Amino acid sequence: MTATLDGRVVLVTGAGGGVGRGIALACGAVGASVVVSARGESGTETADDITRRGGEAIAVRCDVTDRADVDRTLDAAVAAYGRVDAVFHNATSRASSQPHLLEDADLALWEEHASVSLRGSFHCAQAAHPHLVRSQGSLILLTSPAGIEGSESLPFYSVVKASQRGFTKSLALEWGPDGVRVNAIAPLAVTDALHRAFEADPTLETSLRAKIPLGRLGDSEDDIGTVAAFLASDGASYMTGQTLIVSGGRFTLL
Amino acid sequence: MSTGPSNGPSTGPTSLDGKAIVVAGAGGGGIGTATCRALAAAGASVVALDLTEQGRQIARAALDDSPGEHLVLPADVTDETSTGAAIDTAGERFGPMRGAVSVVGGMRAEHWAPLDDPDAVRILDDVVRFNLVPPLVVGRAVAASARAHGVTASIVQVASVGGLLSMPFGAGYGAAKAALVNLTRTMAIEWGRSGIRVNAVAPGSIRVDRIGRPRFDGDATADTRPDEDVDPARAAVPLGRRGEADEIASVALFLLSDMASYVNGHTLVVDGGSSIVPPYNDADDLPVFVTDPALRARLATS
Repeated sequence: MTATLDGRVVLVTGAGGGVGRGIALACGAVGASVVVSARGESGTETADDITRRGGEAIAVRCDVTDRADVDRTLDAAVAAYGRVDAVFHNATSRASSQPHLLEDADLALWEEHASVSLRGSFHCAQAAHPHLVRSQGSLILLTSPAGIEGSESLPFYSVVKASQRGFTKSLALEWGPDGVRVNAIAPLAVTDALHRAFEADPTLETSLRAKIPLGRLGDSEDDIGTVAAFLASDGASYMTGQTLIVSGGRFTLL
Repeated sequence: MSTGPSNGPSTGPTSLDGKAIVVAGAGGGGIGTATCRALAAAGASVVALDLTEQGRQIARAALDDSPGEHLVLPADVTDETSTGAAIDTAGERFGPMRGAVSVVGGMRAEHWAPLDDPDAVRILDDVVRFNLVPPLVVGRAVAASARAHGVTASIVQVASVGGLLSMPFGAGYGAAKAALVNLTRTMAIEWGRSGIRVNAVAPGSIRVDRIGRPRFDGDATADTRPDEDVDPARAAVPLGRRGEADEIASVALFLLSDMASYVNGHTLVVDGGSSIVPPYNDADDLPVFVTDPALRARLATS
């Protein structure tokens, strides 16, 4: 089976909830040992859910803005499972879904976005590289339709997500000769923030669904996590430098 | 949440257990034949279409060793009547079609020509027709079969990086594959509401076994050169090698499966990174603006 991750070890940052949790669950479901990284305690619940289903997982607290924390998390992965085959950098700032106009935005908000997404990518990529060379593994960065199309309510989020694509392609070029693949995912998923927005304005969900050819919003595990698992698998062995859009057909142009 | 057909955990994430999947262009010995093998291994009921008896023999040889059911049928996939008859025959045996991989296309040797060639317009007409019509004919037949039974389906078109970048001396092929990427999006939007996903795979340089076939077939970008001497792909492909047909088949399998339940209208480039290599690299495969000798030496040996 091409998409199995049996015997593989994956690390997912920001895996306490949302898309990160979905990636962790989906990878666990196809046999990966999962290192669930989250800044707070929320990773424990994701890890427990994986083990409850018969999978293998540990939770590690990690602040991706701190390189030492990222190193410690990778060390924990190796201590627990002996190797690292895939690293998913999914974590974003807790402020990432906070709508802002540029005229109201301040440097603190900018730094908040940039530190988790940009500095976090840098830390995860540089720290993971030697592990991924050993395992001939892959790095997967999370971009967003907002990073491709822009966003009128989340300009900083759009900027940091767009940056992931440049980083993805650059590292794919640099690491290709090492046998390490680097790809990105642009998901359209139901997140907690979107869920709250739907509760505040019930017409929003209907109007959003109407713009999606498949007529529904993506599920973090069954729709997005599965694509992430595929990218980490041997089935994607000749894919590198690419962005996979997972949006039910809402977005198709890169 | 997923509205796709649900597989129990025992069937595996890319299981296509018992689903009838059409492979158009099954006997080329390259991507189509590799796809037949991958589908059979994933438990699909494979409906292998090929125009020629030679092609059908190749498809049969690939499928006879595989578990699961299959039908190898003659069909001219440029023709709706011929294709419809084959799909009807398959439907009687397997029920509704649940997916398709359309591999048919390519260029004959005589189609390689510059834009200034006296026959350029006729060549373009032929090549566009042969690369663009089969995906529509096969897609329509499979979508109709699925919709008639109220079931979901997933259709995969085999495009080419030539359709995304350019195709010197193969203008018709490049234009047709570019059009196929657009057709894929339109199909995804028109048919998405009825649960039919449509996506494309754009292979880069793929190593295939040379099979002399005196007709349209295979991917014009498929590279049949032997692996001896210097691999011409080494500098041009970040992963340092040409791809294998199995590595396209595995992506097609993913797109057909429920793992890709929310992927729709997308073209997945599967080229080892060749299409993202910047145009400003020099003969040493380093950016021209890297002039410091020490840095050049370090990058060249990294």
